[in-house]
Amino acid sequence: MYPNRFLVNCLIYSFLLSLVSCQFSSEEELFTEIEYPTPPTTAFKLDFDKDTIEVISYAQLHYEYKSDGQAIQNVQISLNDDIIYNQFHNSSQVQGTFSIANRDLASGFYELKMTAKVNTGSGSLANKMGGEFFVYEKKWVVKYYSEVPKPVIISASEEDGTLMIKWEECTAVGFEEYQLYRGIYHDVFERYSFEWLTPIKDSEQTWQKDMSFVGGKAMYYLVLKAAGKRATSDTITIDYPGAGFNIETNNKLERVISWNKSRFYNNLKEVVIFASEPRYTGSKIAGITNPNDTTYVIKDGLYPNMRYQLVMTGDYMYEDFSYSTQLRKEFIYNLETDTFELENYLFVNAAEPLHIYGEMHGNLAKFDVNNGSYTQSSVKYEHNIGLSGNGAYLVSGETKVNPHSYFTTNLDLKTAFKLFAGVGNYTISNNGILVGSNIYDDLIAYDVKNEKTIQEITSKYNIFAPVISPDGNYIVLRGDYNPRIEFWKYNDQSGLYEEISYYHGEYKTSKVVFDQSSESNFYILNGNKAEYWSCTEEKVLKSFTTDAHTIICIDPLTGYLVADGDLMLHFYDPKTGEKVREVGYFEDYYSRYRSQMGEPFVVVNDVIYFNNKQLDLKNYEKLN
Amino acid sequence: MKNLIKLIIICSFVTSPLSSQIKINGYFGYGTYDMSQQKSFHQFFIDNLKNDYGIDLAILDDFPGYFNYAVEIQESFDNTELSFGFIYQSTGARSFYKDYSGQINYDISIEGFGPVIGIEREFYSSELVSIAAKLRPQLLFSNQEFTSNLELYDYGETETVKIKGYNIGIEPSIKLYRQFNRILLSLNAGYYLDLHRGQLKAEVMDEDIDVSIPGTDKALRNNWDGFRVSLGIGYQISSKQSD
Repeated sequence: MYPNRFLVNCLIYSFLLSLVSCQFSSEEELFTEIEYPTPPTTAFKLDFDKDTIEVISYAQLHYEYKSDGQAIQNVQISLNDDIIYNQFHNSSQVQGTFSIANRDLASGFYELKMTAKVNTGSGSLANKMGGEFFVYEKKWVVKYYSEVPKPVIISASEEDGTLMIKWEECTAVGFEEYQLYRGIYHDVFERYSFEWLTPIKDSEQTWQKDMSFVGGKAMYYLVLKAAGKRATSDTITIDYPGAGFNIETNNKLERVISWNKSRFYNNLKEVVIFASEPRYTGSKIAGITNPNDTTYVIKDGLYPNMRYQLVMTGDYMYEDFSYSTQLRKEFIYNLETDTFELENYLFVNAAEPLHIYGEMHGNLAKFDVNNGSYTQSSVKYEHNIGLSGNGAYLVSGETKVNPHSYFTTNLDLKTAFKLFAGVGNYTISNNGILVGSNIYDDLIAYDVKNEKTIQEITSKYNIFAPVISPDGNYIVLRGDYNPRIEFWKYNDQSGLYEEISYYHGEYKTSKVVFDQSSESNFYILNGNKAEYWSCTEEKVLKSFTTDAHTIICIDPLTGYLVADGDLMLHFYDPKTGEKVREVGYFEDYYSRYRSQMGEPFVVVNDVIYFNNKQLDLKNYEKLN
Repeated sequence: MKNLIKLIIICSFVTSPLSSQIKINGYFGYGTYDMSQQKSFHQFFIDNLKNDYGIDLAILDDFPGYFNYAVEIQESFDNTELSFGFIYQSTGARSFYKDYSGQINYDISIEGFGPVIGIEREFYSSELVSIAAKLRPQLLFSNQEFTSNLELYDYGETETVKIKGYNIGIEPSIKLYRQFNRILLSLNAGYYLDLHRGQLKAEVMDEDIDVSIPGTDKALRNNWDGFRVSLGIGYQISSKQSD
């Protein structure tokens, strides 16, 4: 019997079906209980504490990141999703440096994102497999400049007595320094002269005081240095015309120079007043350092048309940098002094009637001090003139002139000088003894009264400038190269003058001026000390200190000693040694004649006579 | 495998008209499997994970004994029964870890299958039961899958390596059986011994490469040795010609 085929097939297929579903398979699981981790407290620090970071071309930034114990495993920094930094760590406190630098990066805004992964420390499977972190993110905006942005000066204006320049702050990383430049406009050259003011290393300092600007026209521009590059701002120009300048003469014959207080008074170092003849270089006559002072008074003196310059200076020193400015104003001014007809050397006698001799139209002329009249002679004015203190003897060149009649007699002084009388200096005693020198420093004594030579005077020490005493008994010589004075005395037996003594001192630049009211006493400056010598006693009778360096003359009426200081004529009362006044003069007045023997000034009764001018000083107040 | 099953079914139909006494037997059994090298192989990965990451995988299954199946066509020649059939068995292993953050597990499953020839001779018979000694030479092919699985939060990664091999073995056993009309019920108990263990080969990048025990140059082989027990049910398709 055959089995039921259908049944057999069913048995086989169901068995095979069971085979397929009965393969070994393990589905068992085991869950391990682990506590879920607590997020740690973290702190992130970037060396830039703003939400927006400005970067010029390149920036290197430093970060620090720390957790409260968990290991920081990774710090990743991206710029607009491009990873620029990826550093693995394994510490709870990490740090590093990353840079933002890309030549292809266009200027604009970018997102800087820092992602830090902190290990949970949970001990879970993911934690152990390195796949479980606490992830922290922090974002900044990066304002990127591919080139240094152009700096902007906001203002340049007066502030609290100084000039303040302000500009916009550069907050970009990569900042190196600001450099402020200043150009001062020169009217003469009609251009700006630029100089670099101090560099500023602090990016937050967006101002700079120009501590030297006192006014005028100036231009400023700022250079921003960053990332090894630089950019320059537009210029800003300021124009403060500055102080006004005026000169007036008040009723005390004072020149009052006035100006306005500088708006930049805190920058003002000094107001300097220069004066000169228009064609000469100015000399400083005053320096005012108090910025509140706006006037300066000059006691008037002997001045021609003068060019006054008012210069406000501002100087400032900052570390190694020194800079300065000047504001210069000019004013030409002339004090109308009284005219005087005589010019050139002036000579005056010391006894009434007083006459001043000088040149008028090329001839010798005299001025009567008492009645103010002039008498012109036909005698040619010579540069070497001698006049005795009593007014009895007058010699011009080689000509003996009668002071009253202008009768002339030719003296053979050429023979006396052996060669040449020429330009020189004569002094004549009241008894008519002339001593003098020519330009070769030949010294002679000549008897004008008797018209004969007495002797040649030869100093062993090559000193010269002989001056004879009023009584004619003494000759005093002064040496420049061998600074001393020699005393020579007339010997009645020999009929000659003989050296009797000498004294060393600082007599180099001074001059012997005999007191015509005495017989043989004279004044001389020993250094700045006025000494009153007696020739008979050969000693200093009295002395007093002066501000002068040489004696010019003695006022025959007031007896005041007139001495020369720096651009000043100093008047001293020899009785007390006190200065009674000082009068300014322009140095050229003096230097113009200094090369010649003689003096340009004559002072009689407090009136200065000088080369076509006279100035009455009686209205002068006491000097301060 | 499907082709092999079809071959057996076809053979059974081809031979059945020619046989004088033909039975079809199906067996459902249970076997233990030594798999000592596979256990070492599994342990290597567990140790490696612990050393590298400090993760302790728990071994939840380690090649335990498991069910097996067989089907045979049997023909009687006097007191000797010859059979030809097909056998299927499987086992595997699992190591596992899971917490709130994810899980990781290694799964190994091994199937053994192949043709089996049975020779049995009855040496005791009664009305109640008959007892026969049986010898079953076997050619066992094996398919193995080694799967590593990692799941971390929303991240997942699974990798499976397929390994193949073969074994030649023999299973001596005792068979108790009783026939009810055409239905044959049997109980088998025996022990399987590998006579030859082929080296396992892994399929990597479409190439078969020899698999060694990690850390050694020793070839990895399956060890199917173990006890086998099974229950069988058969159906006698035809009687003897003399019947």
